[in-house]
Amino acid sequence: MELGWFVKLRSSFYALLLHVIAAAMLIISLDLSPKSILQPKQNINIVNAVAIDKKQVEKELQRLKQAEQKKQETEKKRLEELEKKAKDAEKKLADAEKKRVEEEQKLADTKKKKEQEQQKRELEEQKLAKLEKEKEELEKKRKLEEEHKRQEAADKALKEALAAEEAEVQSEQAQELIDKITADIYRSVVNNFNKSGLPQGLSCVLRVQLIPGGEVTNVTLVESSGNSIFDQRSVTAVEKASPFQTVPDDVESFERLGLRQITFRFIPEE
Amino acid sequence: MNSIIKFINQRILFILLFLAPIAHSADLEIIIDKGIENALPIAIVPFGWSQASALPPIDVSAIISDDLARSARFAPMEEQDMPQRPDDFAQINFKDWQKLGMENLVIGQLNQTETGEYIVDFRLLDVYKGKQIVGFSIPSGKDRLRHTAHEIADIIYEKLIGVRGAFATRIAYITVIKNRDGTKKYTLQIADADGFNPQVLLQSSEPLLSPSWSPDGKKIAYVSFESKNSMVYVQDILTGKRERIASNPGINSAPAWSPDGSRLAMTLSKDGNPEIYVMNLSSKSLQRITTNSAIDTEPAWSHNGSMLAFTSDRGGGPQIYEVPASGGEPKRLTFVGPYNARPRYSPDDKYIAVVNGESNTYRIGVLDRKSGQFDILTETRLDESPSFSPNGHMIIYTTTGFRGTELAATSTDGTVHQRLALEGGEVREPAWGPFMNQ
Amino acid sequence: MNVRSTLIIIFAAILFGCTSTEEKKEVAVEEGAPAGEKTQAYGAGEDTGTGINPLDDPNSPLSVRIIYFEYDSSEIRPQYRKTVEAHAAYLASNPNVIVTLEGHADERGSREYNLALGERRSLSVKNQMALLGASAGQIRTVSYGEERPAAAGSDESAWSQNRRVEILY
Repeated sequence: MELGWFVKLRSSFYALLLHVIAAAMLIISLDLSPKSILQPKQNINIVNAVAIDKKQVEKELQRLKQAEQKKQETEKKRLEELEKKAKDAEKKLADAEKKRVEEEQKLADTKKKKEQEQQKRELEEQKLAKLEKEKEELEKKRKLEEEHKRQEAADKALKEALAAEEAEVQSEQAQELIDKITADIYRSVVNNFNKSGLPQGLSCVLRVQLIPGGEVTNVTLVESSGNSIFDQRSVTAVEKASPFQTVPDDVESFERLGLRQITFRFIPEE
Repeated sequence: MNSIIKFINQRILFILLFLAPIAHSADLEIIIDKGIENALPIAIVPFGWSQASALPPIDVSAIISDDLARSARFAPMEEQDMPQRPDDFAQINFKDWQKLGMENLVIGQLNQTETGEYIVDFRLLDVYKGKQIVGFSIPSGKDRLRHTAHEIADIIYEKLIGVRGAFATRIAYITVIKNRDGTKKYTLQIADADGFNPQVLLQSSEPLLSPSWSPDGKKIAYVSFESKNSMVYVQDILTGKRERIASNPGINSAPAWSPDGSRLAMTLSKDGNPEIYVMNLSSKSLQRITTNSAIDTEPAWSHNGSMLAFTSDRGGGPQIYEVPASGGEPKRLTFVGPYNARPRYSPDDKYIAVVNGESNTYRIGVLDRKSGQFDILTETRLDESPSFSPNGHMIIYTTTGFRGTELAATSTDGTVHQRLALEGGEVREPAWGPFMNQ
Repeated sequence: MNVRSTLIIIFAAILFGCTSTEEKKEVAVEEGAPAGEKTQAYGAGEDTGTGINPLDDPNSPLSVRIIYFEYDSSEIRPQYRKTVEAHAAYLASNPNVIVTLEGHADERGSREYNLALGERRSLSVKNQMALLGASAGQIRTVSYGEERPAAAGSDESAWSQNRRVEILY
């Protein structure tokens, strides 16, 4: 839980940090835009200047009309010249206009582009925010799952612990039972192991098969003492002691206690 | 939270460890570090007999049963306690015998052949395995039937005890019978180890003593007073031929054979007082072993031939000393009690049996030569003349009862004592003979 | 089956071996050594003037013919000094007389040791007599150990009578 809270806090902090970064980027980008469009500003000034020239041309035209009578030929020529000039100017104006429109278009485009970029940026930002949100949700989900899992594990552990505790109780009981059975088997084999007249310092090992109820079904000499009489007396002791009264009848406890096979080590003290 | 898990984990680990020996161990192992020391239960079922019309000449099973009981290593079942009396393998119901805790069963048949000879069949069976341990068909004759029964007892003994039985051996001894006129009749006899089939080798109105078997069991050396003094004789058991081999002035006594049968150790006082000598039997030459003004007597030859043990009172009272058979400095062996005499080596030379006396009580003691441990085996008052059985499991000796000296036997560990009643009069100085077919 | 028949043969061999020993029943008493008779050697003796052999005089110290001993001892006790002296003197004055000293022991302990003990007792008496003038050549010794008790029984009253040296002329 402590961890969860900490993780949550940490992710909130990341989110905040991202926002701050995004905002900062936006500010920086706005600040940068005028500098980046330095060229188009001069064009605008030119266009204004051209507009002032046109007014002067019209004034000249009126003054020229008044002096038309006086100077016909020259006037006409001058007019044509002027017209031509006007035409050029017009053309120039048109060009300028065209240029201005172009420039305007260009500016508009730039602006549009800029707007698009802005939009894009905003979109991206939105996207980012969305992603962040998704991420946050994922994180939250993950955390929840994690928490869930942890809970489950804890539950499981607790359950296991309880089961184990129960098993322990059972095993303690089993151990008690095994101890009792072992003591009983030991006693009855000892009471049937006749070492009268046998040389000292001998030992042998027998593997003995039991069935539920304690009856001996098979005795195998796995390690001889080297003295056949000693070996035989040991085998007889087990055979004579059979059945072992305390060995359970029911197969389940018989198996659980591992009584199917018992190893006997005959090593009488001197 | 973490600590809880940790705790639980530890707990699980602990439990797993705890469960391990039960659930996952190979086998339960039980160490049998103790046992009982009882006579082995055995049932010798009365043997079948082929001639239903007549009684069997001997009760083979009773002889075997008595032999085994006398050894103290077996506890033969009484006939009336037997759940069944099979004389054939197919008739045996092993479960019935198992219920009674009977470990071994002997069944057999006595059959008479057309020529009047006998065949004794016997089987020794493991009751819990339901299997035969050993079985033989032994041809015999009417006069040999007891011997055959003893041989069967020997086989059973060896199969179940691990040491050759000594039932088919013989003992030599001296008997004394008081005549009506007050004189006495002394006889040197040999008999089966159970006292049956006595044969007189020599009889005399003068004392006889110290019979000693040659290692091959064919001759007996002894002391006879028939010539008014103790003299040593060697007599061939089969032919009855005998030879006086020591007749010096003074004592000629206590003959003891070397294990190879070529020499005889004895006590002679021809040089002034009793000393130990060794006589070469073919040349009759003598080698003096002891030189002491005290009594040196009762030599016994170790079975490996290297040593002679003897009684000497050089220390004040009689005690046992040992000297190399080739001569040398005697070394005192016994220190328990004021009186230790008449040593006899056990067949494996590990022990020396002696007569141990204190005030009016004389008992059979056994000295462990290696450890020096000394144990008193008997509980009666005037016990004498210990003699080991050739397998070393029993000691035969005499004790003084109401009728005078009589035979008794004890297991070498002193746990079982019994009187052996022999016909007529006192029985003295039993000497257990060697195995006859080595 | 082969093993079995082999064993039968072995057993048969053993048994036949034994038969031959059993055929031998009793052995008669061997050799012509005269047994049983107590030979008593009487010397010519010395005329004491009374006409009675001093050995037969019940009032003579020579009538005491048995010396008793303590347990496991061959020492002559003071009460027997007179007896030994008398016999020694008799032997000294009758050099042709030969005496036999028979040493005995009580039944306790081992027979062979008692045989030696009986000899030691008889030699003890012999040596004393020799010291007192008898000739060693006149004195024979023999030990019967515990084989010839004078009194039956297994108590001190019997034993004390059996630990002895008999002086036999």
